[in-house]
Amino acid sequence: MQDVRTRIEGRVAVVTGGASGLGAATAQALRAAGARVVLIDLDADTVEAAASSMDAIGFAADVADAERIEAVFRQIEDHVGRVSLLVNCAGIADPASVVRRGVAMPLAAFRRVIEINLLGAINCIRCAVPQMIEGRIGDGEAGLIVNTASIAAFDGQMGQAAYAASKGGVAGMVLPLARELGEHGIRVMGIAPGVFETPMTLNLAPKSRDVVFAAVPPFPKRPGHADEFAALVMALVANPMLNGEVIRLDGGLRMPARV
Amino acid sequence: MQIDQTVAVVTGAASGLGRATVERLAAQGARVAAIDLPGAPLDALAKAMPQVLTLSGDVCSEAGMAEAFAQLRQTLGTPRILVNCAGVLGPARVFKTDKTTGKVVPRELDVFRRVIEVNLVGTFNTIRLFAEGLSGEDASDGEDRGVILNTASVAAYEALSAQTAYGASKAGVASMTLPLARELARFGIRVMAIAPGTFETGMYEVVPTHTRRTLIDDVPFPPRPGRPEEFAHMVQALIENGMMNGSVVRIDGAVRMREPTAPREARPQP
Repeated sequence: MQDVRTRIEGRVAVVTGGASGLGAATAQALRAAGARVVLIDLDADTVEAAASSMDAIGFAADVADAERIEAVFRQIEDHVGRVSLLVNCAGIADPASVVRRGVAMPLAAFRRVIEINLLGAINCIRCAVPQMIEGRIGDGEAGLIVNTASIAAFDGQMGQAAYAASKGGVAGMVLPLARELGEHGIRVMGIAPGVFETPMTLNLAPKSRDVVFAAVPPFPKRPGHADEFAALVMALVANPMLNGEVIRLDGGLRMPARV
Repeated sequence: MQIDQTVAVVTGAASGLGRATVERLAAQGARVAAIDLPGAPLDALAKAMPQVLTLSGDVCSEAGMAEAFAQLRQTLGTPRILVNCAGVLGPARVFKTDKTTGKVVPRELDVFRRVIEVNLVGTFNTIRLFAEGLSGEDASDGEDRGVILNTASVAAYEALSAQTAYGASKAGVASMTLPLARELARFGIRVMAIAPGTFETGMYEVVPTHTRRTLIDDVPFPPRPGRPEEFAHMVQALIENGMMNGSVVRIDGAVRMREPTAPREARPQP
């Protein structure tokens, strides 16, 4: 088995949500292993700052915007090279009750979470896959796609209908994608993190944040760190037999209904 | 929950699993509202079952469903049973070959978006309106006040090639079952999902013959596609059994879906 540096050095790796949290930590780990790293994130200033701090290239884009993401991937192919690795980390949590004070949640609130977390991932996948296929050498591995699901896909809490649905979708498409893209030498994996300390969880409203961080794993009894997520991504890169599976990364945590 | 005289609403009601559900619930004495897109199947249902309230509308439309639910409440009263069957398959690979250049290019995002909209966003759309209608309920006596049944699929767990959007949408439906059950418990609403394997419906008719054969060959027992009335039977069982909550039930003859036969060159040589 080749080591991870041999497998990734000089390859083009795209990380969405790459300006902060799990995405930024993953981008740094890939950069340290010699990958040419491209960050995609929503805010221009933030992505630019993150990119320059780690000698990567940054694009400001909404992952759910079909035309914009197509344009970004064309620019990546023209100016950086064909994509070999795609890590989808862009996502939002936005907890909300289905019915609050007798009034139903606006459908737009549900749709927004699905658009960013689920369609955003599909959008980047459909744009990355043709480059992976075109760049394949012989019958070797053409690429790897890593999706960030969540343990909410398996044990979602109150107020997480939209988030759990979106992350369940992200987890559910790992196998059909692996089946579809196998003949083209592309592996597809998912990671379902438990409670991690990232801007997404730290910036929740105080009440929601307390609920999330009150869930303590059996061991280690603390939230996960973004570099531990990045370490799992590197393990997926390194091990070519991993395919079509979603791995929980949660310290053994199962989320209760509420805390 | 008792079905007799209870108001029930079914989406995707004009054909397949939805139609069978409408027939079964009506036969058990429910006062049924049937929602589907306008068209011949819904007209046929209205004609065949005049006791059923037919409502035409798109499950993805916020305004359309609000109107359908308002009309339903006015005509039949507050629904206490919701069965979401509206869904589309929409098979598509994530890339395609450009006919003029011969290059592989991305498939249009809207192809995937439509499947997610109908199967996932549409399912949530009726759930929120249904729950709103029961949000004044106090379930402290431990009796259920409402039941939501969503149609997932075994594709939530083992979708095939070209089922990225379908698999994602159905996995989304399966994954929101537990958080919804947890959240709506205070109104006495139970939430379940049913994950059918291969069933004899219009959706199954469009599956290529070769794939269909593999799907059926793989069903351990009974070695045939499921019948819509068997789905409807499960619907009734889940409505009537008050302890069923927050989980996904497979109804599939023990099938686990696999890709149609692997090419010979992929098999290991001795």
